[in-house]
Amino acid sequence: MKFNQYIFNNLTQKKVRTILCIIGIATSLVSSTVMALLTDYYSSRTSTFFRPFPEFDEVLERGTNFIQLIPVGSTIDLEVKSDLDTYFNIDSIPLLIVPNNKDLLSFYNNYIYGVPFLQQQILFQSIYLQMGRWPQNSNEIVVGNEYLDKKELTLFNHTFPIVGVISKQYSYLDRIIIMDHSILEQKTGNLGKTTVIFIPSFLEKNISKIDKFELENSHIDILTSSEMEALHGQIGDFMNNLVNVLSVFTAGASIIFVFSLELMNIFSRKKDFDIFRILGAKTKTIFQTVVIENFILLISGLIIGIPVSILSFSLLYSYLILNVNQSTTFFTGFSKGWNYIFHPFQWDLFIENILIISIANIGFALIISLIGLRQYKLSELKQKY
Amino acid sequence: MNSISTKTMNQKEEIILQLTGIEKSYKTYSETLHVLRGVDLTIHRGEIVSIMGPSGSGKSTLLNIIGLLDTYDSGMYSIAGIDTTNLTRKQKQQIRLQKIGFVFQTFNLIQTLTVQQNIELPMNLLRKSQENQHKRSSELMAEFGLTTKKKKFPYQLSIGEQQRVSIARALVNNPVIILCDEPTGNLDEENAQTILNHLSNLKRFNTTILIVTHNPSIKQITDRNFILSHGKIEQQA
Repeated sequence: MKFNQYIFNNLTQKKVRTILCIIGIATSLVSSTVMALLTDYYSSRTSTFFRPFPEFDEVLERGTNFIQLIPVGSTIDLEVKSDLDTYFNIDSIPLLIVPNNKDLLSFYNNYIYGVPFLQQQILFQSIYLQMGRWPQNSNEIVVGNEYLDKKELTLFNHTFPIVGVISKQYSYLDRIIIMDHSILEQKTGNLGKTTVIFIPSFLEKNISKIDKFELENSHIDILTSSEMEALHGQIGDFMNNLVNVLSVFTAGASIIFVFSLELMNIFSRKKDFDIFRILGAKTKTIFQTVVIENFILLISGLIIGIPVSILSFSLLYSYLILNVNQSTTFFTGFSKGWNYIFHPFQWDLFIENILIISIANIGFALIISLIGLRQYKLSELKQKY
Repeated sequence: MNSISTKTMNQKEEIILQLTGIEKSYKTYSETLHVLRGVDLTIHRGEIVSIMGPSGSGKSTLLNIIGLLDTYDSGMYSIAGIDTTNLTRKQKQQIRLQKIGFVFQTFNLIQTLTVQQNIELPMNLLRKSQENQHKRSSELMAEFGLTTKKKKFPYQLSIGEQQRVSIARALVNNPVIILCDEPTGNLDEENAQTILNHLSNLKRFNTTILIVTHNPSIKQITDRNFILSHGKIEQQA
């Protein structure tokens, strides 16, 4: 008899336990991986996916019908623009520009996808936006034509009439077109309805003027960029913390699950180990058995868990999030379509999870064996039999 | 003829196991329980010895000490000429593996190993070659009528067969003594008698056997019988 025969027999004779262990390891890997990856992706797009509802409620309570989360040009409400221009003594308040990361990337490569060369100035401005500077004196709006082609250019949430957002996270349109803001208003059916105005940061130094303007024009609610940032920050932090906690809980639950499996697996064999010891087996021999057996279980679990993890995450990412996209016209920033299945997969995070599960599996096995073998004195073991 | 007879006598006289003034006590919350109060016992090679006694008399404790599964408070215990007083855990483990065979009331076979694998297990722990393992296990399986069952797992065997496997496993490393804890305790009368016959047959190999039991019929195969009572051991007439 070779001692490995004991391991082999154990794995093949106790099929239910073996299968349970393999599935358990695979499940732990899948759950922790999917949650970690989704959390990671969510964190980078949180402000888009979940809007700051409580604050919007607060804004709505102030009597605002429509909220525009963009630095607007007065073309949305020409009268208001005119008033603002005059009031703040400036030439023009910039319009909305929704840049696209891909386009920006193309721009850096000296190739602008879908954008005429002459419009590069707009892209420059959009870059400034991403760097936290407002484009000066812009009279145009730039959005992706993906929405326009699908006639979905309603940058309004179903629940909250949000027009759109200028922010790094929100610019994930497939292509760029240039559209006059008045056309956008017509297409969105909100001609002249916008009464909440975000103003660029360079105007914020005139905060007293803004307050005064709001007092004089009670139907207009001006949100400064710092107010907007505060809203984003609070809600973003809250949601990020929430998903991070969920992720930690999932990872914790996975590790506890692995621990429980090991506990079950090793203590169900404690009698075998006790017999080995009574017969005169070395502790090292038993540890070797535990490690080899757990390694086999681990590898089997990973063989199942790795493809299932990739598939599960990709399905959730590409399919469920796609559904979310379809249910709201407000762009979530998640990639669309099946062709993105492997695109968003973060291998480093995935390998990190594999290592954690592997170390937990083997580590717990050894710790539990150590505890199990030392839990009773040999004489007590003997008494049990 | 004379020299053979002398040699046999010398073998017979060889002390396999010697306990002198062994004491053992357990501390409970309220009191100290003196289980063994100076046990003296000497067993020679080839002897079959039984220890009987009422429950709680310390039989199992004594067997644990003899099997190096437990320590004693005072006294001297040597097995095959080795003083066990200052042995390390590893040394005790080696002695258990090489010099002691265990037969339990509940057999304690590894359920996931076949009959042959169970028998070969102690040899494997001693890192004997595969060839030697197979040779020895085949001999023992033939001896105990288990050859046709060698591929069976313990749960596929009758209780009597399981105990025979257990005895074969105890013998596989040619130990100097076999310790049997109630070997017939779980068996019906017929199987018990079979096991007793097998144990008795081991005399042919000059095997030393110490049996702890409640079963008085054990006396039919033993050379000497001891009674353990109140922590003291006495030989029966």
